[in-house]
Amino acid sequence: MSRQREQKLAAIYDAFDANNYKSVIKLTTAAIQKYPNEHVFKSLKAVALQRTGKADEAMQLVEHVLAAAPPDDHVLNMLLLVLKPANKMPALLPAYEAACSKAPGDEELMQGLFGCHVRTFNFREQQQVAMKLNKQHPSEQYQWWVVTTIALQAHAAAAQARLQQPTAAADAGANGTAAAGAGAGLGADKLLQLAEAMAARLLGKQQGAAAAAAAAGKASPSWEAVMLYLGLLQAQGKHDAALAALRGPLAAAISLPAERREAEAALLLSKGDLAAAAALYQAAVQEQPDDWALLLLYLDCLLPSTAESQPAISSAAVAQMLTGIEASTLPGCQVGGLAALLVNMQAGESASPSLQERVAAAEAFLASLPATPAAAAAAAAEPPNGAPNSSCSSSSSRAGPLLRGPALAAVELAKRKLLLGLGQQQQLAEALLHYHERLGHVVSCAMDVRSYLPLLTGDSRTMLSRQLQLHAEQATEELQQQQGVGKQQLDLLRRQMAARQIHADLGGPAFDSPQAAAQHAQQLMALYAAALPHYEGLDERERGPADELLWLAAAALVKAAALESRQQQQQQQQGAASGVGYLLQALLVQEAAAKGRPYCAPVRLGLTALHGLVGNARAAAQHFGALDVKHIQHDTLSGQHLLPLQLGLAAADAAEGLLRVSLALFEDHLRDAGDTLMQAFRTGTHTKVLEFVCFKERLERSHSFVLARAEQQLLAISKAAAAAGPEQAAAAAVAAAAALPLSLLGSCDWRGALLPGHALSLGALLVQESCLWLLVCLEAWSKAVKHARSKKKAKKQTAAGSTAATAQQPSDQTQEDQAAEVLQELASVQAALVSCLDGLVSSTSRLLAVPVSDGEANLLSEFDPSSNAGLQALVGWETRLSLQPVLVDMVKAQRQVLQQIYNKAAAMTKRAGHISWAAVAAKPVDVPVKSADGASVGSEQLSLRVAPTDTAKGLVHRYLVYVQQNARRGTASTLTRSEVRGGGKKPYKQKGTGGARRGSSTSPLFPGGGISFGPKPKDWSIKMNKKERRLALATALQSAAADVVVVDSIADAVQDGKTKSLVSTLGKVGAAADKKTLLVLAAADEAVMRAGRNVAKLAINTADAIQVFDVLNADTIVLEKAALEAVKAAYTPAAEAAAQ
Amino acid sequence: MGRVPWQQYSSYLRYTGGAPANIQLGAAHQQHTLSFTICPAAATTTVLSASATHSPLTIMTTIRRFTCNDLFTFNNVNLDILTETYNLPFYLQYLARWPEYCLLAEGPGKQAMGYILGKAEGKGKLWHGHVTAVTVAPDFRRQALARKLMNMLEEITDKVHNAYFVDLFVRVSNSVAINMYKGFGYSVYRTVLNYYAGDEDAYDMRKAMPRDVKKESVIPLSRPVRPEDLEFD
Repeated sequence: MSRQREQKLAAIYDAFDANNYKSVIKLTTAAIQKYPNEHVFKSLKAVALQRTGKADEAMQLVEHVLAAAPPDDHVLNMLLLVLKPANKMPALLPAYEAACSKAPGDEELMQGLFGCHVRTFNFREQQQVAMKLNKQHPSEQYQWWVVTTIALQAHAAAAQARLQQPTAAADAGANGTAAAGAGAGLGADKLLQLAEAMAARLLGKQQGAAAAAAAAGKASPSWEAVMLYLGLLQAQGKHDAALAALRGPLAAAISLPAERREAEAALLLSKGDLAAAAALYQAAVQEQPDDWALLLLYLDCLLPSTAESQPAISSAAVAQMLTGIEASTLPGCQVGGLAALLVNMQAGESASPSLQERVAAAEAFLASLPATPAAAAAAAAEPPNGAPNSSCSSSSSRAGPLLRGPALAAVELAKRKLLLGLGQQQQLAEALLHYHERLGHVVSCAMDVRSYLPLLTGDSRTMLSRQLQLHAEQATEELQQQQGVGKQQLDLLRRQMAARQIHADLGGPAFDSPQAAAQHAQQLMALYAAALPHYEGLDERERGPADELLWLAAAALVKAAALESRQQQQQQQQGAASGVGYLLQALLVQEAAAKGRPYCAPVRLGLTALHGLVGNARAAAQHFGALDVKHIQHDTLSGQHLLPLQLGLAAADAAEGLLRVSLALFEDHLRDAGDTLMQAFRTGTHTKVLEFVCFKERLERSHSFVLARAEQQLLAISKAAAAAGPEQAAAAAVAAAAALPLSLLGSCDWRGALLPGHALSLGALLVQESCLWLLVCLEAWSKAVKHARSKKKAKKQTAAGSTAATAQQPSDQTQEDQAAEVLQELASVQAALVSCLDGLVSSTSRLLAVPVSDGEANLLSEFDPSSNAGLQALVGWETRLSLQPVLVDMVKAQRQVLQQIYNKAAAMTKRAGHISWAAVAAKPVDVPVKSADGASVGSEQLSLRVAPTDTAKGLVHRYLVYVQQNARRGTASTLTRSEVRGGGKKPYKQKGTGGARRGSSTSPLFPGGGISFGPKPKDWSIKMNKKERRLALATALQSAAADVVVVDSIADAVQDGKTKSLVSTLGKVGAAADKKTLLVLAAADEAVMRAGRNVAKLAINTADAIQVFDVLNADTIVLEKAALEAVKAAYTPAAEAAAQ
Repeated sequence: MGRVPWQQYSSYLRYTGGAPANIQLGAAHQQHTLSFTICPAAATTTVLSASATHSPLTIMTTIRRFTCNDLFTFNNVNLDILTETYNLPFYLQYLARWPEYCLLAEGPGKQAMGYILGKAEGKGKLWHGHVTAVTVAPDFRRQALARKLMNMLEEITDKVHNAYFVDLFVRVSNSVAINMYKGFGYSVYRTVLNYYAGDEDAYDMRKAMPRDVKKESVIPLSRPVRPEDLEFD
């Protein structure tokens, strides 16, 4: 378009680049005026507004552009920058749809539409858009998008199927409809088949092209594509096909031969051909003797019942993501899971070599592995990687650097033998000891063996502990004999550290008295002091060689504290020490450590815990803060270490900040997930698309997330309670407390996983404690109020009956006053309670509607032991130790709690609904009663049902406006210039008169011409609810109570219908003729009407038609006695309650 | 050691939505791009200890691709003070765009021992691999793990991407890391002024790959550059 426009755009972009948003806004505003139809300026302005914190204005502009839906991808995409922070991304979808229909065939717009569906994780729509894209702009990329989106649907359908599978036989019909409703049109199997067929065709095409134009150097299929294809095959259990494909034409995609071999072995493993897989892994291990995962897989193949690893190669992971987790729960859709593998093994047990033989084979192979890098290099005939083989001779038996892998493999084998029942714990202990002897000087020695230690119990454990202690002491002695800080001494120091650390991991050392423990700690600190020369020149951000001593000493001191407090419990009468002293010592040791080694994470974590123990949340937070934990670490660290501590110590303000950042992690990811997913689509990393979807699902189920949300709401409740007065606090607390479990239970997807424990326990607490308590209180109060009222009524009746009706006690009045307020508060509490209970009923009933079996099946499938090392060690993939009963119990228990909540909440909703409060009456006001001659004959009380003070004024005003406006007839009418008669002739000639040019004499400018904007007949009537009108009139009357005079009967006094007698009567009762007066008669009386109709400032109403204007206008209101009775009958609370 | 102020990262990523670094606003205006980055998108986090003189033990590890789930288990590596934890979109962006460059070393008990994140970018003779972060957990240092990770990255740069060189940024004060990189064959190509938050300069270190036969890419520049003059973020 025009050059000018381009220049304007350029200036705007420059301003953006300079982060000068003010000038952007200025420039865009000018540009919008010039080009009102160019949406690019509007969206640019919106972005700038958003960046300067004017989100509302930005949003208005965005909505404007969205409504126009300009068919321009860049403009629409820019809106995302405003919509995303406002969490309104779904609004973009309709705009894209509209834009796409405006400009069919625009590739970028279609891609944008695809992105919209990606952001909402709507796989089905993604597929359809991808297919359209491919139709309009055929390309391989879009075809892969289609494959990936089908695979994602299969992933979702498999999750669905996992829920329904156990009940499929029982109520197939019901579930079938449910599945259709959920949009899983096709089964997972079908979808997988479809995706596989498409992928195969794509790869086939590529191969064909590659074969044809191999010389042209066309790229072979991408790694990602091949992995996706293999995963699709594997997910359907087509291992043979996958293997054939891998061995055949697809091999070229995996460029590294080692990787290709591993992929093949992984496929063989899933297929169940263990012997072949073992051979491949063996070859791989020989080549890379220090690849630990390969070693484990090799052992898995040989000794499958101890299997624990999974191939790292991605196709298996893809298959896993596609089908859900383990094959054992999915007989219809086998993944080559290890459980399935076990079945295969047991079937083919007789044919394969016996267990002993295989163990022997493994032993022989492991023994043959080279022990040193040099040997490894020689064995693999690889060039040594430039490592100078410097001396590392801390003793004669250890002549050179050792390979950790083969050394630890011996330990691993001992462990497997132990699991198979072929070995003793003793052997494992010895293997561990041997590992320490050989590689104790390696920094990671203790870390390497940590996972094996829980397998040791009893004698073997004590044996290992004793031996390690000996090792440590031996090393210490040797170290003391040697001088200097050379390599040899460092190795000895490391060896000692490893021994002590492993010993501590085993639970040692044991002490019999607190003093012994404290002494041990002192020894350790002395050793640390002795090791200080090794720290010289060490960057303080590095891990020091003896840092372990710092926390081992603190641990010993904590043990001392525990021992002492136990002693104190046993001998209460003697004033024994409580152990706090040792605890403080431990704290001080760690504080000192933090000073000396400020960047040592374990010390900081230890200090966080210790300060928590002594109740010092602030210091704990400081030390934790030094770790600089952020982003994803809030999920894995803050939620475990600091948050419980702060909450436990009621450090609400600090906890709040932590909760905010934790929640931000999850919420930000929910917003950003779509964009990264789209990026993966664009770059063609197909397996990552699956991975990101699984990652998002996992984060959504995060325990920390649920915890953070629950705690944040609890904090909000306590804050509200602190801010408001006691009565408001009750209502606010009920409302907030209701919001918490409701939002939790409401967001719970029973199909997703186990319900969060928080939600359940909060729900149960809420219904069993708070709600019940409130309900009982409300019922009791309601009863008391009713009782008091009926008593008062009886009293009043007797008082009325008696001749001397005297004024009530003033104390009674203030009481009444307070009572009215309290009643209002109670009513609002009741409303909050009812809505809370309603919410509980609806959310629990929704959750309970899911069949039991769904929950169980889902749990089984969601439960992934491979993610939990401890559990994995416990279960060990042992088929005999089935998880199912445990999980089923859990589901049952949860369901019982849910049912309880539901039952109680439902019952309580009814009860709460039945509590009634008599309507709120105004403070009674005494009105004088006079006879027609003006003599006072007593007083009456006026206490009508009125609106709350904060709305009363508005209500009455509204009523007044209603009355007056409805009184307008709306007949005002003027003639416009077209309606005025005449005007057809030009009044005078155009030129030459010296006057203005005139075309018609009916012009508004002419006298006698039309009226430009004059009134036209219109309907002015407005509406107001009948009950509101009643309340407004009552409020007006009550507010005028001070001006009210009650007269026995006016009609009797004005029988003659003379104005003079009416005026004199009114004057006698206090309504002078010069004052505006309202006279309310009990019934229409012609004589009085006639007498009063010519009195200037007098208005006469009847009791059944009191005019609010007159009430408000009057200086004095004269009521006939009978009229007062009629007013009371109509507008007091008791009367209204009776009417209802 | 690269510690990019994460706020700038997050603003950058939030703005671009994790899309390519610049948003282009119209085919006719491709030269005008909206870029809101003050700070380079990727700086090098280098945490290692391996002194070049120390004899490497072998590392007993599996080097495999980094996955999303590793973010849940990499705390023993990232609790280290010199290792920066980035926001989620940062990691996911790397995983989505350069999955082959994101590698994790896994040790016994499935512990994360260290990882490397990198990327490939540039045009023409500047087509190169970049080390964004390389770090090793304190418990697994002094085993030449960083060397192995760097070797893998160089191999991928050479074999997969056929790039001219590998580059990385490092704090000028971090002599341990600089010496280590020199031991790996890297040399200082230029100084970038005020690259890091806190006004610290960075060295841009490079190592030529076999494709750059004449090693033109590593001939040092005589004068320092400013961050805004860098070719890539």
